[in-house]
Amino acid sequence: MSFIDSLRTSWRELSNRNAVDDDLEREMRFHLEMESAANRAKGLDAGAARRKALIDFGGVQRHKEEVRDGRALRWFEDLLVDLRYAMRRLAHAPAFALSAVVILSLGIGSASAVAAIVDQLLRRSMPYPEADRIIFATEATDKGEAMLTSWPNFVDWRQRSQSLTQLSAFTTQANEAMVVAGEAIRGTTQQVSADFFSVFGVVPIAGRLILADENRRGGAPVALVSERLWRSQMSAAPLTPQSSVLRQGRRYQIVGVLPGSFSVITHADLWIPARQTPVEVRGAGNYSVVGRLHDNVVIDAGRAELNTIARALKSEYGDASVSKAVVLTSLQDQVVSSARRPLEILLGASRFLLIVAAASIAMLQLARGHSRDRELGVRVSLGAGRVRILRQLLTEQLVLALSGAAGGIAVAAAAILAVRRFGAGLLPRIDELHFDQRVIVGAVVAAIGSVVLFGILPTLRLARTPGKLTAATVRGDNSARSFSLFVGLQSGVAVLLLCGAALLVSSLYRVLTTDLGYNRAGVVAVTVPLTGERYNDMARRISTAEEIRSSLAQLPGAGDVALTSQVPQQRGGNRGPILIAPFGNPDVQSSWASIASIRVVSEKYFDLMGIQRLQGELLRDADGPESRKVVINRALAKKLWPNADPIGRQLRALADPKADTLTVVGVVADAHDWRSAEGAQQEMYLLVQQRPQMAWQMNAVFRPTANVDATMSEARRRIRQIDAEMSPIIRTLDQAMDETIADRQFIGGIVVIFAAVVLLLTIAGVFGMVAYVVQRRTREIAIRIAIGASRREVWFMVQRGVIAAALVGCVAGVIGSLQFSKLLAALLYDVSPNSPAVLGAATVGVMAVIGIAASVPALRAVRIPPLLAMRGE
Amino acid sequence: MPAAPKDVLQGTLDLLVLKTLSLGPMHGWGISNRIRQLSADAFQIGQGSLYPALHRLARKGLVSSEWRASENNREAKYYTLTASGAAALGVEIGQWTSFAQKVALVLSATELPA
Repeated sequence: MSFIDSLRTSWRELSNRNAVDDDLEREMRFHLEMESAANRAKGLDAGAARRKALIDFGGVQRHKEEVRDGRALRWFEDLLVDLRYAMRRLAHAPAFALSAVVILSLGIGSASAVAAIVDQLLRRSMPYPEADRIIFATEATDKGEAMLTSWPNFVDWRQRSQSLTQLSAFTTQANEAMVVAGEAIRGTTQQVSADFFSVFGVVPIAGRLILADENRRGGAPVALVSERLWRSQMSAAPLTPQSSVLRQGRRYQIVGVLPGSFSVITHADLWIPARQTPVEVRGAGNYSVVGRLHDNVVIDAGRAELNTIARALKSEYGDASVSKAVVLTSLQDQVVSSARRPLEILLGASRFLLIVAAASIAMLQLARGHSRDRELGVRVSLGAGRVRILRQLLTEQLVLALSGAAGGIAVAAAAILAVRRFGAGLLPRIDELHFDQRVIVGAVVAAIGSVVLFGILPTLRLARTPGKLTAATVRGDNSARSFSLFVGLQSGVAVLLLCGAALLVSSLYRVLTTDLGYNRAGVVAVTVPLTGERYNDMARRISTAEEIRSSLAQLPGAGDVALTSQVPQQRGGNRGPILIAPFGNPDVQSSWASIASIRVVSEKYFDLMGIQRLQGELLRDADGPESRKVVINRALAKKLWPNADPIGRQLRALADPKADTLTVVGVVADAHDWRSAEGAQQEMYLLVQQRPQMAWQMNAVFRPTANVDATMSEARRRIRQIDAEMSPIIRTLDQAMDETIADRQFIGGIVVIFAAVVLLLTIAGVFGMVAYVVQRRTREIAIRIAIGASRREVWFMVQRGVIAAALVGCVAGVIGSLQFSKLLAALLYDVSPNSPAVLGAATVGVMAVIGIAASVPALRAVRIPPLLAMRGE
Repeated sequence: MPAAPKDVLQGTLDLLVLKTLSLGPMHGWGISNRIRQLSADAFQIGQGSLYPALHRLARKGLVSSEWRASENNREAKYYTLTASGAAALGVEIGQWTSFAQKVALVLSATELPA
């Protein structure tokens, strides 16, 4: 018989199950009648003849079952029956079914959403041809810390390297003001050198790329825009010669649109040509470098060669060149490394949540065990086989698991949407997240896995016990032990996640409340670009800055207005090594030189920002453009002259466009950038007039005493009066601060939510366990009370198990969190990852909550009337 | 009859059923009756066991079945040997005979072979 025939038979049997059974019934009846007739013919009376026929036949039902067992799809028929039965049972316990499905959905949903996000962000390779051959390189300090690369060094790398091809430099400015189609928006600009796009083989979806000529000095100002910007701001209209974007006072013609999938390190909205300009000095890094490895060149060879080139450049140019080392990684690793930590934390937290969810389901089932034991006992005594019962119980688990998986998939889809929506900009490539079939597979695997782990254990016990109902049922020993295991697990994870949440939250609290060395309260920053043809004239730049300052100072209640190229927490600006006198002495330089960033400010800046003067004097506007005075911060002073008075000392900054020899006149307190892991950044301050070259971006800061919102909109109007094309970014420093902590808030928020859910489940678990013990032992407790047990004894008796389990769990949780917090360390500010206060508080908190949860059902136990002992069931 | 391994018993029953049907189409009771007669009541198999065997053979396509009027003019399910059933019977008979001969050989041995 062919396979098809066999399938057909199976199908017929399945679809006409009743007809087939009927057929068998008739066939057997015919047999018995014939046999009875034969027996009567031998002289038996009708009754005896029939009896003998039945005896000889040997069990009509048994043989029918045997015939049915022979059917190919018997297992499937049973499955249908079991499924129907499982549905009916779950429908009879809607509270149980609903809570089980909700808990599972939350656990599975969060775990599979996070897993999908991590997978997509970390593991998926970039959508470029031979993406693994794309490298990312920058100059590095002697200690191997990455710095930005200067243009002259980049040009030399490109000329000398044999192992790398298509080397190109780019620099990213986030949060820039730009005007597209008449509307001011904020976006991220990447300034890129020639060859940049060929590294990635990217093809514009409209228009063209930047031409080689446009990357040369004096080339036409052109720009490419992202697909997102094109669709949102330009309604995806065809590009015309009139399509343009206004940025830093300069108009760029939009010549092409890049696909949404294209992003290098960070998502950009605008790409413009980077060109060799006179300000590019060998000592000042501004660029990151990407390129491709030549065929047959391994990445280590490329790294070694670039380091050799860097050493050669250092010996050729001496002090003028910053570094003699290069860090070179694959671009993929570079993209991933920044996002890895936070994602690993989320991954860990979501898995813990899933484990606790599964444990909660197991406990729910244990709590239902009582009624279950009886039902199963009845079924076993009616002749149900052990395997059959096991299968039926497993089917019930399967129904739960699949419902949980379905719910989980919905939760995961919603979570991915939410992360895309609210997480944009916090993690690289977050806007590429999507829901795919791996989420479904992951959810189903997680559901079945958790049910196998935590559903099968109690199921096996149930299937084993029905034979000897009494002992196990009455004492409930097995369940109590399983309960302890799960309570321990839950409380351990609760401690662990609560520790993590507490660390993240207290770190955020520290960031917001700690003294960062300046006072941002009430400060409004008006950020304007001062670049483009209009402001290439330095005198014009200074006069405009001054005009803005005095215009804002006339606002009612504005008070003093100060200027600065970068407010604290704002990055960017020239950064490079400092040389100290006596210059040209290599011993002094190599041992003392240090890297600092240069900020230009006006006189009132320190006062207005509350940055304390520690030594010497401050800069004065009256000092004028030719002043050689410099103020340094404490971190730089300590670094350059650890044991000497810095006042009156001389230094030169390689990142200084004028490269003057400057005299230190004062030392101010550090204005901390809390994100910096190494502590305070080293900084030096010059007057705006001294270095207008560095004032291409200017912040006017002031502390309005009156209505802040009105002042901010009035400030915008006044800026427009000065330059109609200028689109300032106006916000308070508190808002700016919120943006810098947004990613930590995001991670912290999720861990807090996870910890809260786990704590809730733990409370439910502990409550359930004690309630279960009380229910099982009600009569025993009544007897004990009747014969004189004190309430205290009862109180401790019912809680003993749960408290012991929770204590063991908490200890394990503390040990686990010592590991977990290692992951967190990089995200923490001013909080030790092993802070005993946090660990202690989390443990005590969890134990307190567990104690309360346990005492509610325990109170009921204490109040059991002794009379109950005398009543029957 | 002494207890025999189930598959041997089952195989034997299948062989007897096929052999019986090779003499002509027959219904279940008729098959069981005929096996009893032919074996001189040697096989005291519960008559009900016949039905799982018949359904098993039908599933394998060795017999086909149809409802038609019986000799006493009642509806009965008649089984007929199919072509593949006849072929299978030939093979089974060959195997059984060879098996029986080997067993006989062992039983008739009087001394160990050199």
